[in-house]
Amino acid sequence: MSGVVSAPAGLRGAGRPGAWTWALVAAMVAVLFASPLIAVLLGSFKSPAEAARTPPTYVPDEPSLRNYTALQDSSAGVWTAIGNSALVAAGSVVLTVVLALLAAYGFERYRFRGSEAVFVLMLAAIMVPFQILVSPLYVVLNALGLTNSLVGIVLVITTFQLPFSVFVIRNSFAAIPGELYEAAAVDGAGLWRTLRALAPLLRAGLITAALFTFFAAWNEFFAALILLADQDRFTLPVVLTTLISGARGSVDWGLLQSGVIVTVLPCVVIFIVLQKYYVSGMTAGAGK
Amino acid sequence: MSGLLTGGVAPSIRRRPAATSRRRSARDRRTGLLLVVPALALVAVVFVAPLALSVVMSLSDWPLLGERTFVGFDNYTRLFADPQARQAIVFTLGFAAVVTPLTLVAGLVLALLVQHRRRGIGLVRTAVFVPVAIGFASASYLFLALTNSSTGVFGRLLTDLGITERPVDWLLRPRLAMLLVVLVTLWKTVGFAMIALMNGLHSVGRDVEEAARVDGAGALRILLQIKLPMMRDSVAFAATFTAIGAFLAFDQFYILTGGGPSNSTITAVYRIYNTAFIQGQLGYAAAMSLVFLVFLLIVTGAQLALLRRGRVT
Amino acid sequence: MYTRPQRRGLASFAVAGVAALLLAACGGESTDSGVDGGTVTLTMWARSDDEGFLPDLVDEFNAAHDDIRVELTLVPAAQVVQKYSTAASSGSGPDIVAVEIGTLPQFTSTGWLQDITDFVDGLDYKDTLSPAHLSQGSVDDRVYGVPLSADVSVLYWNKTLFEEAGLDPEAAPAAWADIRTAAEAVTALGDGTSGYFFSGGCAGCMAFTMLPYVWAGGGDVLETSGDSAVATLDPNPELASALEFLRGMVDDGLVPATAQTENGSDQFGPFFSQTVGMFVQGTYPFAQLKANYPDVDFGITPVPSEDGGASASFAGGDDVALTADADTEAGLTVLAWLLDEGQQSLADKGILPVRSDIATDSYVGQDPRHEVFVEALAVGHTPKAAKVSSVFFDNNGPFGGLVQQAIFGDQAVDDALADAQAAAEAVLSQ
Repeated sequence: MSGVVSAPAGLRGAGRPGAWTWALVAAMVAVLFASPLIAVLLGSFKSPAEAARTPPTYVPDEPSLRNYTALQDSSAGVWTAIGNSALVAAGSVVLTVVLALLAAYGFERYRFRGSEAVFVLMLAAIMVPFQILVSPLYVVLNALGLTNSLVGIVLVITTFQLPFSVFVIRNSFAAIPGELYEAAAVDGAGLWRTLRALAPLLRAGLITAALFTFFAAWNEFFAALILLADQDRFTLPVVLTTLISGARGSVDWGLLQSGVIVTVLPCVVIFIVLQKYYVSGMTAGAGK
Repeated sequence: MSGLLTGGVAPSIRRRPAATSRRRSARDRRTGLLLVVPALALVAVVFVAPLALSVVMSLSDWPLLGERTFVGFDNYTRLFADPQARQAIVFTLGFAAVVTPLTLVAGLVLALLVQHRRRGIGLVRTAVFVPVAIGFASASYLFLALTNSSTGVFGRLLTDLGITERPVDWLLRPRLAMLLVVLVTLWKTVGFAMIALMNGLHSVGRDVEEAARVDGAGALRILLQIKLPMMRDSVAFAATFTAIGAFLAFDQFYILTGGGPSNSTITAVYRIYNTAFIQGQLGYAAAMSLVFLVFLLIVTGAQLALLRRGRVT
Repeated sequence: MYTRPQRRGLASFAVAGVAALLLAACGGESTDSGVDGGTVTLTMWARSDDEGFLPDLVDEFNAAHDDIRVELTLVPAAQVVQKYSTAASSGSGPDIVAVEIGTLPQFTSTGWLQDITDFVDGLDYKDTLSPAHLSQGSVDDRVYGVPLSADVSVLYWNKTLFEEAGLDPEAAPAAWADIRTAAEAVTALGDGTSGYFFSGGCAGCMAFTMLPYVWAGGGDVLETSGDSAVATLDPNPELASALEFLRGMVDDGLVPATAQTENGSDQFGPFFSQTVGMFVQGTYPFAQLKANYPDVDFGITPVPSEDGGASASFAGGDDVALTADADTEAGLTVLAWLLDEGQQSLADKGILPVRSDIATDSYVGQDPRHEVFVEALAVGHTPKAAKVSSVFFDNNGPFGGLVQQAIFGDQAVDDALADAQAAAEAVLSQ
């Protein structure tokens, strides 16, 4: 998105002092935004005693990995939660992308009676956020035996990610030149082969849908808090609540900080690697 | 990512591939329907059914445990007389009214800072945007650890810088607690507004800016009078997205303030959660949800309408 | 004809999509009790507050039994009501639950818990069980829960600080005026020391530590008759004076500022670190102090009424119950063990048992102060109503709001009481 934009002549002509000021301000901004994460990363290496010290140290005196090794021993079971979160994220991504791909292809390629109405209905899910529907949703999932189940979480996340995903993937289809469709169809290729043939052209849309779904699933707190009852099914964001409220008494801040780091790390890494798809997804959303 | 599309669903959809002109047979229509059915089934069960059920529930005394009974509009009459519900909606609107403009202004300033390619620009953009990728729950726990008045480094930093005499207990006073949540929300979401507005800035043609400059307009005037009106879509998108996020805020309040101090920071979603799952009154919570949904639709509808009117003129 | 392969492929796709959904829907894992190689596994839930004694107790049970295995999960205290409610309404969750007795009436008449009246009637030590625990676990004459652990609130004072402040370290504060005077003297020591402490940001803690002042004065906050309960927060002179009493100490700086927001995560810290002179608390800090803070010299005494003529206590702790789907025979084996060997084990470790006979035989003799707990348990109060946790223990409920407004807020106590009464009526009427 920014590749084509270069500094306008006026600014470029502003000369060195402007550049230095910019560099200074930009560096401060970057540090300001990065510092909370860095501070918690440092804090996660403090020993329990040091993490409880007043006033606190900025940098651990004696860095230790104890918080990370203690994550599973704590009654919370953070490594179990990592597995649960990974299951929820993977399940949501696969289900969302597959269902959205099929639906987008159906909407875009085969108009049927009422298809636009159905499409609009699907998009309506965006206007009525999940948080608004918690109590009836709980009743419905309960009737289906899907409360206290990772599957239930996957279905909820998938449903509320579908509209955006169908939208983005449908746009990818729409951008494919008609001749390519015709070529694929004349070939007599089946659905699977047609989609396979078109896949490279859909790549950006599919990755964008997968990426947004991943973040939504990995970070989902509200639904998981309400729907999951058994601690061995908790996802990472919910398990953090157990780190803060262990036995009556004080909080193990070092442990909490290592829990935060473990929760945050996959998001940061995946985001840094795939950020151009995230930004293009936003652009698609902005309709610009 | 709800609300992501509200900025402009219509324009992109109208672009149709060449297939439009083909005559469609009954078989094609059935094919299309079959492809859509799996997604549709899920939406029907997890979205449409709960939506319909919420109307029924809102007319019932529907406890989490025990017998349910039809009570007509009792929940609604109770709701309009319930000071806690009113407080929650007022607080939520206020929170959104504070967070939305702050995010937009800060996002615009950041967008101006990073709009042009320079050395190291990727690093700055990434640093500002990374908090968007992490969850609100993790962000809240992160700040809970950092701002704890006895063990958090934030308090020590402010003291070392001479800004405060001793570490502040952020959760002690309603205004401080609110300030902390606003800061966390800003840190977590401003990168989104930054990128959206940066896209907007890029969409304004360079020739427009050059022309204005030749006319002798200053940088600020160009921004306010020429660029911002031209990037209306991006502004509306960022505003709608930020506002909806603020309306639905729950995680940061549940984790950081727990609704306190003095019940001063309970948002609408928090109240719905409490009513449904702590007090076990699912029916009343459903009525609350529907009334809140009306507020939500009015606000997003108004934003879209404003945007549309802007387009016509 | 190209259509055939395409349609078949398509149909299989649609079928696959729907099948994936169905599979996903049916794949809900089961948590029910399982029998594996002759061993019955029972899952058990308890609140995280029980971490101090319950894991050990469960280990002891498992060590003594080959045919039954109990797997314990501790639920974060702040989420107990929500998690239990959703588990109860969905029929998922554990086989055995330990429920805080204040919250228990919410679950007794829902069909979630098994009726164990016959089991309890068959116990030859039934009469020794804590009456408050039995009452909270019963509806009419049917029993759903039996006592597991007891916690009673008493007044603690730090003898060292009392001595430094020129007070008689052995004289227990016997009336509100004594508490107030002592708080002033201890605060006057300076150096960050305060007279009195409580956790204002934790409604449940406040119910536990403040309501005894109300009951001791002859007042109450709830009128229970049969199945229904009515809140009596306003007018309520006893509650008003208890709030005024605490507010007065807050206003005069005898209480640390953190008392307003302390949400239960650091209820004991200030007393452990000897920075406060007094607080009302239960049995947990007593055990902690003896085990980990040998330097703290402290005494305990019943929570007095304003004039010192009477005393009262909040009886807390847990009942333990079986859920509807649990294996009854195995479950009752666990319950019987917890009531007998389990209570003996607790008493031996210096933890207040729920049986008066075991308390007399094994607990009282260990420490002269134990007598205070045993007496408090015999006369302990527990508010009984299905919605009691929504009114009294929910931080965002009427009582939590009352504490904040009346003790720390700008509102007059009378107005705060009126508001809380209206809010409590709204909750209870639902």
